[in-house]
Amino acid sequence: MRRRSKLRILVDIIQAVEKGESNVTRIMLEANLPYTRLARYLDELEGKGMLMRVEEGREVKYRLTRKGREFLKEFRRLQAIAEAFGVEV
Amino acid sequence: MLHVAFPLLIVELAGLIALLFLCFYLFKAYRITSSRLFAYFFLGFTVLGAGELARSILFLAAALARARLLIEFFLIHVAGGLPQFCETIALILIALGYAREITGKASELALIIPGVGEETLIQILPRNLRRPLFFVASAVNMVLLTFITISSFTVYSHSRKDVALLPAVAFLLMLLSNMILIPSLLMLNELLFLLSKLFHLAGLLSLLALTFKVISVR
Repeated sequence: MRRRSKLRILVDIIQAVEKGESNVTRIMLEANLPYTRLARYLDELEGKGMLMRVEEGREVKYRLTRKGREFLKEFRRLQAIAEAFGVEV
Repeated sequence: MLHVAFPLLIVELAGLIALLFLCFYLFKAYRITSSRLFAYFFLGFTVLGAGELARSILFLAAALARARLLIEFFLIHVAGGLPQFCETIALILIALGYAREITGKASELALIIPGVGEETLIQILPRNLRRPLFFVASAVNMVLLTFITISSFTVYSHSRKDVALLPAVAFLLMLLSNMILIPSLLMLNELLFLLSKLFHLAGLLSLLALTFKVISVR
């Protein structure tokens, strides 16, 4: 089984949040990542302005920012080009 | 009456725009992923675009000069060999990309490309030698395009995605263009030469369709 690239992991996380606000557990399941690694990536994405942290009482959720949506759109275009030439991203 | 080069020029310019967009996205892909495969495809399509630009200028010059026969215009004009030369270099780069992808080793292509590199002489050799060099360049392009076409259809057969079919169709049309170009040069047949250019432009339009497909992704 081929290892995912870091870019692929970040995209999987963003896609998990794409449909709406998501809590950490749901992101963990959809992105298929252990908590410790996920936490690091979430901090990175929040630092880059692609995700926004939302605290609702004791629960922490993440929401996709406009920058995150733009990044996802660009990645999907990149993926289309990659698929056209058979390159794996 | 409108010269035949004008409609060819318009389609050529559309193809050139497609190549520009394709190069832009391939460069972006290379910058994000640092994948050498994207670098080969980016450089290949950039050089192809340079050749298409030269060809567009020649079409414009032929139209303005009201050239009697396009094939003669391309053969006698000193810059006529430049699009062929650029196409050969571009195809080498694209073929290296596919070869690297398939085999992991770009050097394996050296086995199927005999003596590529002499095309730089096209620019300085006298007219009577240029026709055979066009023929040689087309033959080399055919070999490269055969490999590239087979590779791209292999990619499509693995993924079965529409987006992978478009470059395969583009390369197939360019291969057909080169197959028709050789007899047109041998017989100095204007009609076959125009047909060859039409197939080439159809290939560029296929790349334009790919560009639209990529841009429209949400």
